[in-house]
Amino acid sequence: MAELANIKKDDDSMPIFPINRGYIKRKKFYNGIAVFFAVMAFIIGAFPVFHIIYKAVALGHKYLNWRFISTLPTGFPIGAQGGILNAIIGDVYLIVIASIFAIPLGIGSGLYLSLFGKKRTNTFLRLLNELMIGIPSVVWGIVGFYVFSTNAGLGFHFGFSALAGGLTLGFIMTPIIALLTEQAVNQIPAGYIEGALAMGATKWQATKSVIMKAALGGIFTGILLGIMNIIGQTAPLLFTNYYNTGLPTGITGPGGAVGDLAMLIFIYIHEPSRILHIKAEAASVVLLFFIFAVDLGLRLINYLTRKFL
Amino acid sequence: MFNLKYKDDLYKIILSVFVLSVISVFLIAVTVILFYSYPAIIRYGFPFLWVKEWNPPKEVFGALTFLAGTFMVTFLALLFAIPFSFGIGIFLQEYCPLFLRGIFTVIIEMLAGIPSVVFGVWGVLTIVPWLRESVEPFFDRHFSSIPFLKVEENIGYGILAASIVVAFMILPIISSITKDSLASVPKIAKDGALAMGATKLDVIKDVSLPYALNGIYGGIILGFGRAVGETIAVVLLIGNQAIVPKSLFSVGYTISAVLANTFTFAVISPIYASAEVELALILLAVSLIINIVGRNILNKVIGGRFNRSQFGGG
Repeated sequence: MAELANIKKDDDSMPIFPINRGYIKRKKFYNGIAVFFAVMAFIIGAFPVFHIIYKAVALGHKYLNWRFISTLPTGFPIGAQGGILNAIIGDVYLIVIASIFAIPLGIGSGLYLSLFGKKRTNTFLRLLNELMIGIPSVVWGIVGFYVFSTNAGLGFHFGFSALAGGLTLGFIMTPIIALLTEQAVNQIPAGYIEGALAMGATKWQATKSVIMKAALGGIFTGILLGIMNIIGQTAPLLFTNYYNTGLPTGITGPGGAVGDLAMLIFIYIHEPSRILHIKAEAASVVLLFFIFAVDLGLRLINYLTRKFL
Repeated sequence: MFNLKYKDDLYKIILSVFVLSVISVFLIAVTVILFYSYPAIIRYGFPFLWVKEWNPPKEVFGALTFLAGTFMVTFLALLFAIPFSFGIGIFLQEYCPLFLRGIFTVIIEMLAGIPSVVFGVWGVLTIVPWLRESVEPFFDRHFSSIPFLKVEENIGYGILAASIVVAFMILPIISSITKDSLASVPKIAKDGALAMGATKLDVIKDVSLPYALNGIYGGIILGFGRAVGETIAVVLLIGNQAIVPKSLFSVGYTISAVLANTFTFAVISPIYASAEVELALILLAVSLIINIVGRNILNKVIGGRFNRSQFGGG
């Protein structure tokens, strides 16, 4: 712009359009204002990330030690002394049960979509998965209650238990894994799979030796995203598992309920007790730590897949 | 078909079982909700949507208060979130220096990963005291004559607290979809405009936004879907009183909050439970419609590629 503006207007060696310096200045000024607002929007949007972590650590740092993670809650109101071991054990139960349900289903249906699906079934099934992701978690909770927990009428009659809660979380996890598996398989260059098929491999052999290797990163991304999602779920557990201050004695029926970090935070913040609020913040730090650790693993897998495949 | 010379037949059958299971999960969800809400639908009919009274002992059920609360929280959250998401999307895609874009995108994605309950705790311990001690007294002093801004009880909890937090929760969805839509604008069109002497603002305003607008609408629709179903943070912040909110600062109740708070008691009485499931049916129907519309738009614009900000904790 500067070079153009330096050419004199009455220089008749070349035809030149008139340049309105004020206009250009104004344009640049408006652009500067837009930059300012965009940066402000970003700062305000990023603010809670840091403030949530800061606030949780500032309030809960006193309890961030090994004892807090390794002891059961005791005292009155329950949790005033002791730690959150029940919730951590319970989360392991729930994640394992949900994964046992969701991983085969998700990967299986994702593979079907990319290997055998016709165009119309694919569109339909993808929409179905997307709809399932969009269903609010509290609705899944009600579905889980009537399918697994209720002790009247139809259903599995598991009671408020780890199995009921875990399977409900599995419902939430399945579509995420299915969508990301399909996406990962579709990203494999078509030549890899076609090459294997042309050599006489069956689709199963192609899956075993080509697809599973090339799409492993994407499939793991799906699994980790699913785990990351269900770790923070509270609403579905309200109606299917609720909470247990001790350790579970089974996975169904009475004594089958488990603790859960998100649920523990929810219950503690409801109590009119300062010490429980602080413990809720300390538990939030632990929960956020888990989530960001899973997140980091996810990014690492993405990075390695991009680098080595 | 069952010719085992092609081993794939067996493989296909096994995979089909998985696919059918996924479909049946969806069908089970819809069937359960329809089946258990049927008694209430028959008994209360359409007036369920506009009757104000919710009285379990008398078995009078109307969803108006909860619908009004849900509508207000969703509307306000979108009102707060849309301008900021726009700014964030534009900043990340157009203005941000390239070496910072990666880390800044990660920060916004981290916002999407924070669970709802942690947002709720943050709201209770940060937003609520701030509203109670600074914002509400200020509005009480200066704007108490405007009906919509009247402070009824200076407690901090209420529609405003819930919608601020929900706005932060839907921010990553809308902004990441805005960013993806802006990224789908052909580079040649932008370069052409820049070569003609346009500033970046001109390019965004006249080239990128018109091209990306459909995608951004899709993002807003998906954000709406998330805001409607948001439960735990809202339960902690909205005040949980079954009144139709008249002001920004008044307490209220949303559909998701009433389900979270009372569903476990409701199952004792079949008709009460049925009315609650009918509330869930409203949520389900809204989320299905919203997602069908939103996904259709997005599939056209950014090819249905999944952005990870769309799976937040609920």
